[in-house]
Amino acid sequence: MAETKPDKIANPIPFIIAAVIAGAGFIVLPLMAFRAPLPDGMFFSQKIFYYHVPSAWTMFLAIITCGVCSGIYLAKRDDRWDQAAQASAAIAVLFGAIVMTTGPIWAKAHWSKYWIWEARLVSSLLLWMIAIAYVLVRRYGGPGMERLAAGIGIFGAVDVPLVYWSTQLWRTQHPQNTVVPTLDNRMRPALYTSALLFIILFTLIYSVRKRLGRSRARLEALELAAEDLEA
Amino acid sequence: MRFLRQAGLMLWKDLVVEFRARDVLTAMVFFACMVVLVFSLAFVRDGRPVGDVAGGILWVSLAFSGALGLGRNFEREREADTLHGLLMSPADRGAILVGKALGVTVFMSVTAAVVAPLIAVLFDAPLGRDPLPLALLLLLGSFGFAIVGAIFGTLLLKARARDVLLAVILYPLTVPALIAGTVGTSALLDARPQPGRAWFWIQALSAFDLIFLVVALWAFEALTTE
Amino acid sequence: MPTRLSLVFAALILTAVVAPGLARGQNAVAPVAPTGIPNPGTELSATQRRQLQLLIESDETLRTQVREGITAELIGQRRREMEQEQSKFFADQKQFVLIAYGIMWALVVGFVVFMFLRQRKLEGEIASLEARIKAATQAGSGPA
Repeated sequence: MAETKPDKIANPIPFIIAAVIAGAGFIVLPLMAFRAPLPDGMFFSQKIFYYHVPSAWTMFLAIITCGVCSGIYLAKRDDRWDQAAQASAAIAVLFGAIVMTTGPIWAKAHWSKYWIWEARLVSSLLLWMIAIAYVLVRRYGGPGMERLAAGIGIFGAVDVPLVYWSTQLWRTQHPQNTVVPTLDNRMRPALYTSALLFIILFTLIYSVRKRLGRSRARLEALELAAEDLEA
Repeated sequence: MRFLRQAGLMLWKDLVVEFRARDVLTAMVFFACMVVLVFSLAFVRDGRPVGDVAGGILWVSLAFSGALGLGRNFEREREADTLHGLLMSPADRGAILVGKALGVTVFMSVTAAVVAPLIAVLFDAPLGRDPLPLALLLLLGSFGFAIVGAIFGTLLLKARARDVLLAVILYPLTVPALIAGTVGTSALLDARPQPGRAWFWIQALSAFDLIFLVVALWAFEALTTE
Repeated sequence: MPTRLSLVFAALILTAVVAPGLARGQNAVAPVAPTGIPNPGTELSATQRRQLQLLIESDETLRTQVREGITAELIGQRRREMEQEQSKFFADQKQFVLIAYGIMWALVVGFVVFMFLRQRKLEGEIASLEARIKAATQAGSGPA
């Protein structure tokens, strides 16, 4: 208890290398995206695609990671998994925010409407709401909400395919449900670079956020110790 | 078999308590009717309802009153810490969960049985045209809503800001069931009714309920273990 | 390590500022080349105009050349208009892309900075609590 090692990023050197790659990537990526050809019938605003789609992928990945970590936490009752789930949920909220701002901006540029009831947009919004619910519960539920949050994480991950499928069936009129498989080959490098960058960003933020969770757990333990001491 | 008997006992207990107190069901039905009336202020122009909004209003009122009923139902368990006692008992925890969910489903179905005729009258909706698929949609939708609600109602017993958080958690997580129910009902109420689509959504709802139930039973034991 | 971390953050923020600028440079619209039409702005005097009229009427080939010149000028004008419209549309679209990119960056950087500040606060609280506990244990064990 008394040993005082400050919480550190587990591996600082890979962390810094990843940070540098991410920073460099965000300079290279616009150039790659802007060189890639425009598909027929698309305007220049299509370039938003290179940020919008990978951030949506990252959000889905984060929600599923959160669900898996929640499940492992329930099985093992190790706080580290709980912190991992919490970090993933925060990342899902962040990338969901990116999806939900870049998507309408593109819709405005392309259809001159901010919102269209398109299946993927709607399901992203609904799944983002689940991530927000998780974060809200952690923030306002008071102490002892780990198990409840794990429940939301698990149900949220289970909901991903259900929400996606049901909104897809509900809103099937949209013609571009198969954008990625039919992508122009010259667009792929930029898209995949972007996806890779977002994954790197995901791990970076994840490690920083997890460290925050560790520190908070330590603070709570110390507070308990201090109370014991004063009592 | 034992599982079913325990779940049935749990359901019976909830029904008996409700029959004696009658507060939850009264509040749910009244609240649902009020929601419908508020909607009628917004969606009736010149004495005529606008568009096909009846199915949506039915489900919104059901979902709102369902959350209210869940909150009250678990508040009742909390007052004397009875649910904690039940979980400590040798009964299967899954059975307790299912019994609780069935109780809420019954309350929601009663609410729907009152609200649906009201909507049919106020919004001139042909809700009685295909009673069987409509009833199935409402039952399955309520059960899906109730099973997720029962889990989080139990887990929220110790939380601060229980009522707010229940709504925050419940609606996003049950959205697949709500979509299926609403879209299926709209298919039934369409000017050209499409019972085929409604049956498709009934199947989808059954699948959602089954998935929710399996995940709930799988996780509930671990979730409620300290 | 706060100092090393803050360097990383500084690098991230710097790229956030630099990258949209680079993106803008990449897509500058090339100016429209003039189409070689005689400048229509110069005024001719009345006699000059009459002489020109006679000259044109006297020669068949000259007449067709002038007609072609006028057509070419009209086409060029229309093309210039279209290019202007296009570049305006292009600029509008580019604005949307840049706004989206900027918002994305703002969100990411804001989130990271927010986490960084919270971490610092937490570490401060941990340090003060530890100091208090240490003091309390020492005070408690000292006289006893």
